[in-house]
Amino acid sequence: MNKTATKAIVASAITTALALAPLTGVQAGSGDKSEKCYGVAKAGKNDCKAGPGTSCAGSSTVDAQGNAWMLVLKGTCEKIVGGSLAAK
Amino acid sequence: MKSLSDLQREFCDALRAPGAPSPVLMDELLDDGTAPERFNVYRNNFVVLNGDALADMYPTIRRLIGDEAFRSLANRYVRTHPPESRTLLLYGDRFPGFLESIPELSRLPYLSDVARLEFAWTCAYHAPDAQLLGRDEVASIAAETFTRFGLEPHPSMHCISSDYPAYRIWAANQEEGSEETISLDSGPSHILIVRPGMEVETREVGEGAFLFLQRLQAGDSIEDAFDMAMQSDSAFDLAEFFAHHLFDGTFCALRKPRT
Repeated sequence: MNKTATKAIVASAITTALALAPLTGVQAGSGDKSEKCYGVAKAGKNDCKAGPGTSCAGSSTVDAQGNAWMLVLKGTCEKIVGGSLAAK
Repeated sequence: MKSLSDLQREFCDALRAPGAPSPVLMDELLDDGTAPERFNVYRNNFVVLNGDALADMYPTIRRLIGDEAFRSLANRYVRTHPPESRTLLLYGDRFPGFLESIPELSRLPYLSDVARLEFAWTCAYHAPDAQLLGRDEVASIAAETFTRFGLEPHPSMHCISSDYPAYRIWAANQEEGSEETISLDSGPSHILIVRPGMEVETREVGEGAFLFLQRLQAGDSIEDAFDMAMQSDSAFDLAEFFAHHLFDGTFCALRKPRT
């Protein structure tokens, strides 16, 4: 793309953005059908717990301390199908 | 008598080892007859609590593979990559790569990308605040000179791309009981994570928008970033992109042209 064309596209895109009525807050992108806009909190998050290291409780869980290594997958991954899973 | 640094190293190695601590190390600790028991309490908490921190960082991975498998992986991760910082706020930075190295997970090739997304989410959460790009700042520049300017993305912005529908997999697992079935063949995803205000936003964007943002983040001018984006994705619509994102907190400042 030549420079003059790029310049015109950029100038017009910015002018258009400036001319639009200001959208409020962080939901500005929500009218765009091609994108989803998630502002979710992490699962289990509350006021005093936001990611690792923010909880200081002691542990009642006991690590088996063994070298035993058996990975039993029991989560929601069974709902993801196709792709290279077919090659198993 | 061992030097203090030797003793500390042996102590740390024993914390990470699954087997019983060596009697030689135990002899160095205060001899009240219960040294191995006390050591084991500490070692258990070291592995379990750091594993809990990892579970707080990666709730989606935990849902995807289940609690039992996650705990097993977390124990191994903590022993292989113990925390290197005094705080655990960003513990688990090597977990995505670690997941890729586990042969039993090779059938779930999207896991590491979902993990990257989760780590970026927490990085964005803890990133510095910034003033957002305002209309006045943009309006003060002559339109025909914009191409040479850059745009400074918000310091919390992270761009994550995946060969798999990592965004949909992540999104479907943010709510309990989602029954959505996702096909791994539904194509790659380009994900933008940014925290303009108090809330972290996770958005799926087109390839062109993704490349445009990545190039701007790397310091390119609007012109260079746009050309790069158009080369890979000729459907990229700059006017639509700016209409939604120029003033929504994706950017925090204009960057003056290089002279």
